Amino acid sequence: MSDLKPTDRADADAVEASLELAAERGGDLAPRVYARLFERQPDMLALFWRDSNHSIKGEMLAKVFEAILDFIGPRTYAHHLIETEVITHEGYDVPRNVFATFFGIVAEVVRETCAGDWTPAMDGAWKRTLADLDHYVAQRGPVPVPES
Amino acid sequence: MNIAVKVDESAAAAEAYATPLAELNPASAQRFQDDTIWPVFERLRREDPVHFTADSEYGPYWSIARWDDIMAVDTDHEAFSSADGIGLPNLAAMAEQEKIMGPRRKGGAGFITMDEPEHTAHRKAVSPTVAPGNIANMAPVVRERAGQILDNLPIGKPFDWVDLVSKELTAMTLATLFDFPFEDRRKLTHWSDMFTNMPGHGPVTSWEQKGAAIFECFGAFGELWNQRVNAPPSIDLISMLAHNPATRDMDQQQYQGTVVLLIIGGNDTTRNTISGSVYALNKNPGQYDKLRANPALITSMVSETIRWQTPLAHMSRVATRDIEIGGKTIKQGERVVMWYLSGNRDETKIERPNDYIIDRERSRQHLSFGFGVHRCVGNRVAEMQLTIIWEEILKRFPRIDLVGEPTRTYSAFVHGYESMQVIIPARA
Repeated sequence: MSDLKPTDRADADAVEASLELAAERGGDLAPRVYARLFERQPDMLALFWRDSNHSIKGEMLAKVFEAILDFIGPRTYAHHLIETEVITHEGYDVPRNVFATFFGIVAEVVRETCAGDWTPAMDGAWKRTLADLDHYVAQRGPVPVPES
Repeated sequence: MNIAVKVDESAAAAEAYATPLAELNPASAQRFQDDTIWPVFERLRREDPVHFTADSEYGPYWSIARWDDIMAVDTDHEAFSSADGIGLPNLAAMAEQEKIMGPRRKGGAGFITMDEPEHTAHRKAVSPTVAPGNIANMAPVVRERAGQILDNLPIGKPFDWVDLVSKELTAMTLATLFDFPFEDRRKLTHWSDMFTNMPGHGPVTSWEQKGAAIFECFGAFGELWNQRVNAPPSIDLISMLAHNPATRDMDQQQYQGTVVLLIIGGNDTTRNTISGSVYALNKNPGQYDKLRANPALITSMVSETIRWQTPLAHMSRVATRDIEIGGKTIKQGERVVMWYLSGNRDETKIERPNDYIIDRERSRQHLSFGFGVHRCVGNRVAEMQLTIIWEEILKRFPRIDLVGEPTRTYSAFVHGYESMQVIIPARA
């Protein structure tokens, strides 16, 4: 069970509408999302050394979109998935703040793709959703490790 | 003796649908060996996606057959514990094994059978070894060895692909990850087979023989620990465990459990996917043609094979509290089996899921590595090995032809191949 209340119906509708609009207009958002990620977190680029055909980046972003849709909807797994991906990625030296950065970049790219059709309702809904997502990114402290 | 026999698929489907739902036991190992498990899962996804088997050789257990429900269980590590083991324990086998090995702690397969926060602390001890940077360092070594294996294969004569290629490459890589004596590398595959098989299957002939092999394995890894703990830290898995503050003081059973996890996890999964790729491409010649024409498809072919083969058919958990999944209430203490093999064929999630399509739009969309905190720690090593072996195969051989049907593993856990006869007609 999620420890935050479910996303408000109006917010869920606004986020979903923005994603649909971005998908229609922008096609594949992955190149823009990752270009911005690597600009802000250059150290992340090396982690994708095997991704010659960009399928790893593409699937990760698809999973993020699916998780956002689950998060604003039935919330059957997304909140747990976010928490656990934070933990597993720390094992690959990906700090948890990268998750917040990544979600923020996704929202930015969606907003830019929607352009003139981006509404105040979408803006408010994304801000609240990002804050809720950040709760699951940030809420667990580092796993305690015995003293050396 | 295991003999490959192709069982009539329509008869198997009829039997799966004729069995009363309440009696359906999807973990019947025979169905996996006969490759007749598919209609069972197809029926469960349609009629009873959260299914209770009251009586079986594993005791009572729940089956989770659909993608979304598997995700819900796999990501909720608080409601579903791994501490009592991640496979379905065959009760008779457990009793026999205990006679030989003595009582073992529940779970007993290293950090994959731990819950938080202990799990993550132990997992982090080994994850640098399989992190992207170290894999990049390993890749040239794996490529050189893959080339040597392939260059030594017979041409124009049938041979067992499982033995000469799949086992050999994964044994070499695992020996490197452990910094295990390279000349003894095939002991790793042998021990893996001894761990995962029961008498009468694989190389296991008796419980006593199985016990002796396990003690030999634990003895060898005990020596490795003693060497590494007294030497400066290095990047191999045993040294990482011996020097990490979270794991260096673990007791003997915990260490042995971790060894079991790393040997099986590093062995069976990759080798059965390597074999599965040869099988799938032979059964889908149009896809094989596509791959030969465009080797850039190797990376998506590798992911498609990992989905299509699903080398570990399931993972199991135990509910820590009463919880509803798919409209059914699972009670605290009940065992829950997530059938990745079924989720990867979920028609509502994956288009034409039974087809093998190497250029799928989302080939990486699969459950084979699991999700959540226990997601396969070595997934990148597996993908790297599979990609490299196929890059090297396509440079050398225009065709690898399947000869007859392979012999499949008698297991509801390891979904793989005992042997697979192939012939390489000519070099490129």
